[in-house]
Amino acid sequence: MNELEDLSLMTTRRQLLGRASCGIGSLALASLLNGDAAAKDLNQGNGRTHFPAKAKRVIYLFQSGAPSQFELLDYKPELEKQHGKELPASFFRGQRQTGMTAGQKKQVCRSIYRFGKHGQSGAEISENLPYLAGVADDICIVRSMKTEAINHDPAITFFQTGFQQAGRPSMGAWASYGLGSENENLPAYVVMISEGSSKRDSQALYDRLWGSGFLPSSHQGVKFRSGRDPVLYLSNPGGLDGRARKKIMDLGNALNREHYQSIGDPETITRIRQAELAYRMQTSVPELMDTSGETEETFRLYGESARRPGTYAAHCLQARRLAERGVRFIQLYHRGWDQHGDLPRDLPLQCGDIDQASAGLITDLKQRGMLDETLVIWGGEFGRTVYAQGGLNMARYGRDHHPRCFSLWMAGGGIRPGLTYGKTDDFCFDTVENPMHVYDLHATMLHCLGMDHEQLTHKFQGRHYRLTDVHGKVVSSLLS
Amino acid sequence: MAWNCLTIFLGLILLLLQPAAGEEIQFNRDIRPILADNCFPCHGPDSAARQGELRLDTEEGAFASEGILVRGKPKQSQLLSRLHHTDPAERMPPTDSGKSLSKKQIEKIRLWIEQGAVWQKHWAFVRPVRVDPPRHRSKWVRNEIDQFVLDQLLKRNLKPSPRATRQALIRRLSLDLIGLPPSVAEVEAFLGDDSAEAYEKVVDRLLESRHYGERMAQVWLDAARYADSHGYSLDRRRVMWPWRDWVIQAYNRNLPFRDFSIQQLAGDLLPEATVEQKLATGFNRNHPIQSEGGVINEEYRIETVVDRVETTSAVFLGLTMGCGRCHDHKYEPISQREFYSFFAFFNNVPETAHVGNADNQVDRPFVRAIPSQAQLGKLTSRLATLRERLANQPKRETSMTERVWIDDQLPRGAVAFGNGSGPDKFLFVDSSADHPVHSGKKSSTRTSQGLGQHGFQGAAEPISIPAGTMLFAHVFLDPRNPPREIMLQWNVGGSWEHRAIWGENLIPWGADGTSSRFAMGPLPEKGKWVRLEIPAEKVDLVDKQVSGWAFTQFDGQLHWDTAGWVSRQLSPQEQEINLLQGEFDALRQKAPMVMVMSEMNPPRKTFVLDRGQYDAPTRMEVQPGIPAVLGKLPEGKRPDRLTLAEWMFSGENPLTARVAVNRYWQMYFGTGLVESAEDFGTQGTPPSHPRLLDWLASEFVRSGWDVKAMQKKIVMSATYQQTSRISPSLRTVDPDNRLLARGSRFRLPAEAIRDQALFVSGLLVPRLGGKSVRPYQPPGLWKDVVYSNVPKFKQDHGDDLYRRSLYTYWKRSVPPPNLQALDAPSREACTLTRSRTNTPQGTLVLWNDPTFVEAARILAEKMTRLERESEQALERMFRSVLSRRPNSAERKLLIETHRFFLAEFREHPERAMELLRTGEFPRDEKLDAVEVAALTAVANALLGLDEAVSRN
Repeated sequence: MNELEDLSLMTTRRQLLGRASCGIGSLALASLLNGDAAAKDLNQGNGRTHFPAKAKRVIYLFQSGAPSQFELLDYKPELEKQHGKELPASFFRGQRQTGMTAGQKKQVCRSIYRFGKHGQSGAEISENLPYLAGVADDICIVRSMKTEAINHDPAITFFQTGFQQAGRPSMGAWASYGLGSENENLPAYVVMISEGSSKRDSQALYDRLWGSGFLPSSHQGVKFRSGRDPVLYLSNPGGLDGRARKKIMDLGNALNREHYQSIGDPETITRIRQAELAYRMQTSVPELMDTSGETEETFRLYGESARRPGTYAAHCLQARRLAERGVRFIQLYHRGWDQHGDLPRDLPLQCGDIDQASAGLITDLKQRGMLDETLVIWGGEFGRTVYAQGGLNMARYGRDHHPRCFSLWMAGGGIRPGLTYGKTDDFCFDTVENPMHVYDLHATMLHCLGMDHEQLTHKFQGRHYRLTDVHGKVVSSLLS
Repeated sequence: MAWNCLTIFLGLILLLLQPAAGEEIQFNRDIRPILADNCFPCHGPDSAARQGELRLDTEEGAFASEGILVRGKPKQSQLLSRLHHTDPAERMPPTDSGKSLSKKQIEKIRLWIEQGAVWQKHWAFVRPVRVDPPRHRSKWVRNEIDQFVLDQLLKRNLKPSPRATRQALIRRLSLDLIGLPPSVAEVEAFLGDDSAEAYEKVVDRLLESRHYGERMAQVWLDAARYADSHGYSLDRRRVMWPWRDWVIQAYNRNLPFRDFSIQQLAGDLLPEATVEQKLATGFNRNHPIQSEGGVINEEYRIETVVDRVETTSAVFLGLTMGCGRCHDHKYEPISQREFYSFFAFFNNVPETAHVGNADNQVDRPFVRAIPSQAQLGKLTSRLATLRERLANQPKRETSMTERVWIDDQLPRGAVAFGNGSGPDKFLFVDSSADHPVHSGKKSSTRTSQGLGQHGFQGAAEPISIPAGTMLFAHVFLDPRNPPREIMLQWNVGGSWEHRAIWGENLIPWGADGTSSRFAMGPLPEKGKWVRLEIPAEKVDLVDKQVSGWAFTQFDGQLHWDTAGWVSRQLSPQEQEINLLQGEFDALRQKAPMVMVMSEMNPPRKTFVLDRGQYDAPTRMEVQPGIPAVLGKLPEGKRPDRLTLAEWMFSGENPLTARVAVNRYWQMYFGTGLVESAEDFGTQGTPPSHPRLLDWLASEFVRSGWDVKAMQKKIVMSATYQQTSRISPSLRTVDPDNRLLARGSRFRLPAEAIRDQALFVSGLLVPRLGGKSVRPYQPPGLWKDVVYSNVPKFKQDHGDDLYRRSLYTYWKRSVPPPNLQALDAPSREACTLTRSRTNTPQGTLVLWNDPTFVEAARILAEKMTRLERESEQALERMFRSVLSRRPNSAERKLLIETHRFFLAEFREHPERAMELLRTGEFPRDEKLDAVEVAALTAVANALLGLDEAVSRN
């Protein structure tokens, strides 16, 4: 082993770059709220992308539980004729089914809702989404989404991280890693969670869905919550006001500077900067969350529930405010879309939560000239089955999970408006035109942000990892 | 790689990393990393991806065809010419690969070929050779480690740094070895000890402290992905803490690393394995387990086995084998077939890979971690005596008695459920045209498509089942829509493995032909009430205590009614036996069930899975084995987990000792000698001090894998004892301290930061082990995200608020938020290096988390009690937190801030009172609130200081 002895100084290029991206040292790059001068120069929205970006940021309106495409965005008139027929096993062409319906009869179930053609583009949208229909020409509906997983946990983990098992970075973390933050007083990646109005159990969410995986933990999404502490531990303990906090911080910083004099570790200086930043956040975040200054007209756009903290509508309004302040990736999760049964009761309630606010967000962004630079995406983790789960009781029917096709919509930030992309067969069992895999969505999303999904990589445990693994292609016909 | 990192570091790289001019190029150091990164994906171990039949990861491959590499003749070597070919179509690597070589890299390759293209096997796959340490005469040197380090420094014209101050040393040692700072008295004692052995005495004291095991366990729990919840979607409570306690105890009794590891990997296979040895195998049952309703179990069973492969190979071999799951590894010499051979070791556990939606569910196999052997022993012998006496008595004729347990209502204390297809409850209906009833006024009913069931568990008075008992229930199958199968299940101590079935064999639970799935015959007659009778023997219920009953069906509609049991009238003696048996069972039931490893017999076959898909097994069957590059398992031994574990600790394995000592090194220097502690493969970083690494590895083996001795060896070195002061010149020459010309300095792990606050305030409850606790966390965190019917967070009180952080309840989907802000991982997968970020979120925790504010408050109270003068109180507080006295500038700052707050709180005493209400620990009413509050504010600053949260 003599020959290896001199390696101590032979740090490889990879190693140093790895170190830099790990943010362990004083030069944490591309980092969340990093006040460090070097990081600022590199990352404060200087447009260092692979190619010119169409979108500066993403607002992802994730609908957790998986909304049914049959009742919302994928009109299937043929089902009126097929309703009640039993599907033979051969129909499924090897598609696996969840343990919940694997053993039952598969009876075709129509949608009980009417669809209309909307806007100049004639987009087909169900009566459950009247406000969305009003902005039909601003959005692009994708009906041919495909995924791998058939259960919530793996499917949502796959959607968020490109992999069904825990451990990979989430898409927002990748965006933060690649582009950094535009605002040094706010995180690059913000998450907000709202409860649906449906009476059904909400599926679980997990910190990993906005986690940073093997990227530096500074890229993980920061959850903004309603209530006293919009960011965890933001407010001072009782008895200490802002002035007192400043005094305590000043003492800490002065003692830290003393310590720096004797030890000389730049990390100590970073800690002082982070303290100053934390102190600024104590003002800037509550100010951000305070929507009392918004006009009546704005609340009319998003709906009355936007006045109630913690609702989806309030979060949509917050999303616009975050977008204005340069947050890179804003992700909303709305829960309660898992309609295995009681769809006629619960789906309209869910749509009531989201319809006006989602459309309002589009309109608001457009009015402010921000829609062009903001990519908005709405959708769930998979689709639902053409057959009813349990009996074919049209007052209480529901649908099981289905991965081969489902619908979502996108708007703004480089996406062609007024387009309906992709086609599914009469049973919405599979795509017949322009299938778009989750990987393709990821690739296209990164493309809009100016990043090549094959080049945005991070080396970990000996391998270059990507959000899209070894898959994914940019769907250019979606691009404006 | 983020492209933007490149530029700013280029300068630094040039400064630091070029081999000196004229220096010899070395394959492992200079060339292999370039080839591995750029060429191996298409010209490496993966035979499927290999292009042009060219293989560059082995010497044979690289020299197989003529003209690729010509020793000494760069111009004739195609490998080189293709790298700077003018035609982009010919140039390597291809443009679409996204890879490219710099001019410097190409020049290195040219030089290497010119110098003869000498090949080297990857260093980590060559067995370490023990070399004598270099012999430098230097007073600085304290042990062998220093010789190796000094040797490097001298070559670079560098000097080691002076020894750190005594205050710094004892604080460093204490935080490193037990994860807690020293007390003021301990610092004083060390300062006052003039003997030559003063330092060593401290080391020995700390290694003997019972907190040493906790500190070591904290690192091991990350590696073992230990958590208190099952993970995935429902993420409900699990009990693995007896395994965690085993780890702490094993460290404390200094179990050799060899035994520590063999017991965790294969304790169940040791001859006459004890409960403790079986318990140790919980290591490979700490993985997440699914409980979502619709999952396909086999899919997750495969994920589980893959997790074991990845964890075991990373922890014990420093290899990332995961890539071999879908295809031959792109970088390491591990084929897909070899991956599945390794997989086969862990593929033989009789598990379901699924747990139910209730707290504390276990998957098979498990052991009961016996609580008090003594107590159980007494009961066992008393029971044996009574049974023997009974057996010797003449048999009495006794009458049989029928008792009804379920009719119109459930037994007291029962917790009802309904799941699968049909209503999500135990649905009783009144008698009507639609609803037949057998006795009383009600029956229970269900209509299912597929699998559905209702039942209950947790009856307050479980029923005792003597031999000869007959269980019964009445069922009415709807003639128009009959089920295809029905099943009865009984619950004994949380386990439902007692089942009887009628009809088709469609319900997936239990094993055919056993008491977990006993076939009673065809479905009963439809359209009438039928009494089902089940002999208790058939479903393994004799002498058991039944506390739950479930009624399960596949498809169809039915009604259930009047269920109970028929048994003999018991003699007083038998009644006593039952009573004792109940006590015994209750004790055993209190003993938590902990998931462990065991082997199926006959073994499950392992096939290579196409693209790693659970549902795509190929015909290629494999036997358990290790990758050829690591050698061979001993001949004539059964290739099982035990053989694998023993091989790891045989002289044959090049990796395990190196990987282990490297992780120890990482604890004391922040970074391992091999920086990529989880990856010793070709893509990992080469060691900074290869000979030192090998010496430590061989020393570890030589000592009999003595873990404490290895920790002592490292901390006794002069290298460890250097000051961590960074001089401007060192900062330029070696910013990352890879050469170790100074002591290292890094932020403490999250657990140590919280524990320190608890310790210095005196709040810490230093009890070892036991069930995990739930201290303060912001309200609603679980509620925001968990599945609706999963229990919400319930905070503990009293002592449980102040236990060491490794006992904090770890929920994988929502890890403890204050620890998470300081980089604690979610434990969803094995973690061998944590990141150490410096973020405002971390600062906010130190400022505002009630844990830290309360600790500041109690610390302030303590100081107020100990010192009458506030200046003394401030000084003592500073010493408690930082283990040293403040200098005059620092003293002035403390006093000035304290004065400010005294004035502030005198003017607003209500604010002082409000601050002192933080946390549940009662306030000392005898103390002046204003004085304590002012000191609390200062303490809040001290506990968050960079010096406090770092080990210096």
